[in-house]
Order: sequence, then structure tokens, then C-alpha cells
Amino acid sequence: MSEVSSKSFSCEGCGAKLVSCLFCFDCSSLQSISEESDYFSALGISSEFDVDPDLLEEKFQHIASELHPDFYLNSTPQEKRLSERASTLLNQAYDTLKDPFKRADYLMSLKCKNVKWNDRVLPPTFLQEMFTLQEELDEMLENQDQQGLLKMREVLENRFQDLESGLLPSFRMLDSVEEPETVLEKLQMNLNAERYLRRLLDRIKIEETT
Amino acid sequence: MSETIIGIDLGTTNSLAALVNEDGPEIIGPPEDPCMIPSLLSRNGSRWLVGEEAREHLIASPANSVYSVKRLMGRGFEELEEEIRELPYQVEEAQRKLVKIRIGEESFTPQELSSVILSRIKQKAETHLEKPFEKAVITVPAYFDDAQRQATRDAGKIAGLDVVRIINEPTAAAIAYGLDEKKQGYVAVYDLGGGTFDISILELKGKLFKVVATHGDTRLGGDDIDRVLVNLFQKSLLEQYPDLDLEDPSCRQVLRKTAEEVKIALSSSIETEYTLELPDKGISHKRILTAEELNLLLEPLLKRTFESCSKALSDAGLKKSDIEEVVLVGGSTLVPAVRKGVEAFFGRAPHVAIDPYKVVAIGAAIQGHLLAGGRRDFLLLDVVPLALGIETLGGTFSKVITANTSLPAEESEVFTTHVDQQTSIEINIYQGERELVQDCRSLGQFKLRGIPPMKAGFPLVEVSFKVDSNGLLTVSAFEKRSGTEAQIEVIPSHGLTQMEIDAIMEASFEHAVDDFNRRQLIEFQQSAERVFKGIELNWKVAEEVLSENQRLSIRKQMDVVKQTMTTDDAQILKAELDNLGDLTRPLADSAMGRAVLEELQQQNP
Repeated sequence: MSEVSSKSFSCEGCGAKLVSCLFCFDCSSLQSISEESDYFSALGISSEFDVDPDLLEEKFQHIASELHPDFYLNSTPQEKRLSERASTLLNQAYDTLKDPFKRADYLMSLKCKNVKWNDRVLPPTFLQEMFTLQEELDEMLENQDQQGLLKMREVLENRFQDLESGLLPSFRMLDSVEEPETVLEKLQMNLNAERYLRRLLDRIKIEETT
Repeated sequence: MSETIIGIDLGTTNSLAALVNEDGPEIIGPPEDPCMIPSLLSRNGSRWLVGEEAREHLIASPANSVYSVKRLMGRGFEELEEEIRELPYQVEEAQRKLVKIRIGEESFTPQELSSVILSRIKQKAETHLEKPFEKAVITVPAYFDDAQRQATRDAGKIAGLDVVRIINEPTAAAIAYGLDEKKQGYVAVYDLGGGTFDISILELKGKLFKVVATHGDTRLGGDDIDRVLVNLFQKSLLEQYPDLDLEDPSCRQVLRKTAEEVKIALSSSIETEYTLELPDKGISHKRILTAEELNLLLEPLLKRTFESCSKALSDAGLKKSDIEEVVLVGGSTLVPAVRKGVEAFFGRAPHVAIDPYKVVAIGAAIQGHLLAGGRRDFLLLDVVPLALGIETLGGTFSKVITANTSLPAEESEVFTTHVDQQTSIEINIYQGERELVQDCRSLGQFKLRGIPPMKAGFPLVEVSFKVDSNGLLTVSAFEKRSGTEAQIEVIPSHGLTQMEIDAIMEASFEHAVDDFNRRQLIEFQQSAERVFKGIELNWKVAEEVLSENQRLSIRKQMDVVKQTMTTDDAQILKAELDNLGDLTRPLADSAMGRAVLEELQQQNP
């Protein structure tokens, strides 16, 4: 496990301190993509769970309007390639960080680079609860119980909300406790639970579209 | 400016090109001869008639004429059944479920036919701009999937164009109106063309344009407005002349032409007088139609478009009041009843400042200008319109890249085998939003070969999807345990392979040489006829000023020219014609033959 701190990058050309590791706004030059770069440094925000969505949007647009291949059509083949790669990375970073669960997942993967978490372990009472829900869902799907499905969807979406609102406090706690392992384990269980819930929700959504 | 990148609106009924110059974006060419042609083709021998010149042929020889090719682009035979039934030309199934259009002994893919239109546009633009160019931005409807976009790109390639971007038509219209300067909000683009209707709802967020919903009716447009008027005329005529044969071709022609005129007249006045002239039947039928009457007649048509609008809004989860801007596209939106209807439906006045025929091409030109490095104050962030993925066990569709992901994009997923000792995996690529591949669009397939035999579920096959900023999809596969990489050969399901494109391009180049020779041959044949006529007319003069020998060699040479006229080599004919010119020079040089000289000089340079 390694501590994640906001990394600092400087321009390969002019040496200025970089806002985004992908581009230097001082000398307007694309930067080569280093091993050290991650989604947070690509967007120029600090590596923590608490992300201001407005700031994220603003940063994304600001950086995208320098990196985008549309502005490199007449450049050298290397620059063109770099612009494609940097833009792809920026898009991935933005898509990942704007979604709280994807962001949490990503942050976990950064914090626990060498730890292999069990992606099946779930919170203690969660599985029991889900078995019951799943049985109900199967029955509803079989009986085409639209009313029931609508209610079920609401229940699942509320559980989703609960999980989401638990993420920020957990990440905050992570920074303040001596032994972060237990917090991390709990976080991982909640993220696994989120995936489980999503699969159930998808089943209802499929039913709705067919 | 470093480079010319033009914008092309390759439409179902009309195609046109625009460019940004010092005065801003404009349709290329002078107003009396703009770079705008009807999307019509007609085969005349081994050459194509395009646009206006094809229109006459369309009536005279419908079997050799093609229109609405756009409806067939990038689509498979089985999904076009209904469409094909309504088309007067013959559509047949070709290799890999491709469609081809049969004209006489030849058959052509929709890509080739579209490329003929694009070539003509390119040619016209080059004449007006007085320089060659290759790069272009081409627009497509927002609902076009990857195969349809690829087909459009291939058509461009065959026409000798480098298609630097494919952009959505509604997005182009929004750019033309500078709506990118708005910080955020929802824009409705109402597009009523000659034969199709589309409504698109765009979401504007900073510099990002996203199409959030589209709906439409592929069989509704300006032609229907004409039909409503023709029906009205027929009723009115029958009241007075109950025995009149309305199916008579000349009668139908007159009714259609008058409908068009009345439609245009009522775009700018509240009433118009029209006369249905049928001289061979001794009929001159004069009537008055008011704009209000027309509005009533059009109501059912407009209602259908608003039903589509409501569907698009509900798909996007929006109310009418959420729409902040309304943009009109397509010639049929010039009809005042359409404008009023749209205003009433959305509760706000639509943008009308730019000619709705031209607005899409203009938007494409503005995007071309940006790509050429002419400006960088806005950015069109395109997205993947429909999810991309592969077929997994039981025919389910596993998405790898979800809809609305910004371009360029790259995602990968790990899959495994279902059978022990499986050494190859077939990867079927699909696009769509449904859960089963049978409901999605097949884009192509390839095989990952050479996986060492392992137990089922043991191999880790990473499938990567990459879509570049131009929307080009590449798929690769990699087995992680053995390090086997896919020998990828993507066979497009409804597209052309690179080899096929190359073959078409080669053939069209040969044709171009052929066409050129044929045109010259016709020209020389005609000038030979004129020279003969001139000689015969002045033979009396020749008898006075030329020796018998001279006259004899002229006669001989005329026979030689006549013979070479029946061969098909333009260059030989030209040489023999020149010889004839030399022999007749003494005749022309004589004072009496001056008139002949002038004639010969004018006609046989």
C-alpha cells in the first residue's frame, strides 16, 4: 500500500510547474505521457475523493480545448498521436472522476496498488438482504408485476444512495486513522455491494425496455 | 489560412458545399451558380449524369436513374426490404449482405453512387475556388450508426476526398447559428427536408455538444406538401370536368409544377392565384388559394412531426419548456405554416436568419475552418452515439464503450473461453443499446487465433475498443496468459473492405480516362460534321480557286475523316481533321473563301 499525494509535474520544455500533466499552459506544449501520470494529475486536481463537480467540469473543458486533436490536424505525426493519446486519457479521467463509484474504485486502486482485494466479499447483512430482494424480483419478473417492479426499483435506488453517501465519510476517515486497513476493507465491501446492486437494477431496466 | 477544408452536406435530396472565407462562411460559387446539386444520378452509356442534368433522364428513363441513395448507405439487404419496395430502381443483395443498385448490366454500391455526387461537388468547388483541394467535413444524420458513417467516409475516399471529420447535421446547424457560444442549455433542431423529417435534441454544456435524443419519420417531407396540393387541384378539376384523366402524364406534370409554384408563392404572400393550363384538353382552370387554406391542409402533416418531437422530448426526459433554442433546417421549413406550427409547439420563435437549405453545410464549413487552424474559440466534443461491444455467451451484448462517451475513447474488457482446449475465439462486434445482439447492429467480426489449449474459463482475453477523434473504430484482442495477439482482420458487415475501395477507385480512374476520351470523340465528331457542311456549302468557290488535284485530295481526306469517325479513338480523329484543315487552307486563304476560313477557324481550332 502506498500513500497517495498530489504529484507535481514540471514542463519538459520550459520547466514551468504544470497544472495538468498533459499540457503546459505556459509554453503551450503537449507533454509526453509519463508512468507517473494519473487521472487526478491529468485533470489538475488533488487526489482525494472529495471532488467539486463544477471545478471538475471547468478543468476538463479548459484542458480539453488545448489537447483536442481538432487543433493538431496540421501538426507533426508525433504531435497528432500525442494529442489523440492525451485526449483519450483526459476523457477517461473525466468519465471516471465524475462518477462517485468509479472515482472511489479508481482511488482505491491507486491507494492499494499491491493489495489484491477480494472482489466478492460483501457487507455482513447485505447478502441476506439481497437474497430476499432477488427472490422477490424473480417472482415479480415472472408475474410481470409492473407495480412491484417500480417499487423494487425505488428500494434499490435508495440503497444506492445510502452506499454513495457513505463513501465520502469513509475516505475522510481513511486520512485520519492510524490503521487504514479496516476502513479500506469496508470501502471495498461497499464498492462490491454497489456492483451487485447495479446488476439487479439492470435486470429491472432490461425488463422495462423490452 | 494554411489549408482549405470545405464543409459538405450530403443530403437525401440535395447536396451542397460551403467554405469559410474572409467574409465568413458561404456556399461555394456565385449566387447564380452555387455549389449545390440535387442528389440525383442517371447512367447514360458508361458515364454519369449528375444533379440537374440527371433530372430529365429521371422521367425519361427511370430504370437508369437513382435518387435517395442516402437511405441505403451502410445498410444491409434484409433491413431495407420495405425501403426497396418503394424505390423505382433495382436493389439487389451482394456479398456480405451488402446492397447494390443494378443499372442495366452494371451494379453499384451506395458508396460508389454517393461518391459520384461528391466528385461532382468537388469538381464544381474546385472550378469556383480555382484550386484543387482534398479535405472536407461531411455531415450525417445524428442517428447514423458506425456502419453508415463509415460508408459515408468511404464514399468520400472514392471521390478523392480526405474526410477529416464526420459531424452530425443538427450539431452543424447549431454551430452555424453560433449556439456554441451559449454556456449551456437544450437546443431542438427541427429538420424538414424533401423526403425526411428529423428532430434532434442537443444538450449544450460548455463546449460540449451532445445529441441527447433524436426521432424522425423517414417518409415525411416537402414532397408530401406538394402531394397535398396536387390532391386539392385534382379535386377541384374533377368538380368541373368529371371525365378528366388525371393519370395522364402531362396532366400530372402540370399539377406537380403548379403545386411547387403555389407553395413558393404562399411563402411570401397571404394568397395566390394559380391557373392549371391543360391546352391539349382545352382547359384553363383558374383558382385562388389563401395561406390560411394551405395551413389547414398541412395540419395533419405537421401533427405527425410534432408527435415525433414529443417522443424525442420524452426520450430525453425533458419538457417543452426546457428547450431554450429552436433551429430550423431543410427547405420545407420555409413554408410559413411550418414555422408558425413549430413556434406554437415549442412556445418560442425559431432561429430563421440562415437559409435552412444551407445551414448544415455552413456549420460543416465552420468546423472545417477550425480544423484548418483558422480559429480555436470553440470545440466540438463528439461522443459515441450508441454503445459498442461484443457478443458473449447466449447472444448477449456486452458493452465495452457506453453511449455518450467522449471521443477519442479507449476501453477494454477481459473475457474468457467457454469450451476446454479452445484455441481460437471469434469476436463479433456490435453497436446498439439493447441487451441481445440480435437487436443490435453488427459491425464486423474477427478471430483471435493461436491461443494455447487451456481449460475453459482460464484464458484471459482482453478486448480493446479504440475510437479516434474522427470516430474510426479499431478493435484488438490480446490473450494475457499466453501473450497471443489477435490477427485482426475486421470484416465490415455492411461496409467495404480496403481492397474493394481500392478496386472501385482504380475502376473509376479508368472510367475517368474513358469518359474523357468519349467526350472528346463526341466533340471532334461534331466539329467534323460542321467542317463537311462548310466545305459542301463552299464547293462552288473551291471549283474556282482550287486545282482539280487539290479538290481531289480534299475529297479523299473527307473520306478518311468519315472512316475515323466510326472508330473510337479521339486522337486519331483529331489528327485526320487537322490534315483536312491543312488541305482546305488554300481555299480559306483565297479572298472568296474568307467566309469559309472564318467558319472553319471558329469550328475547328
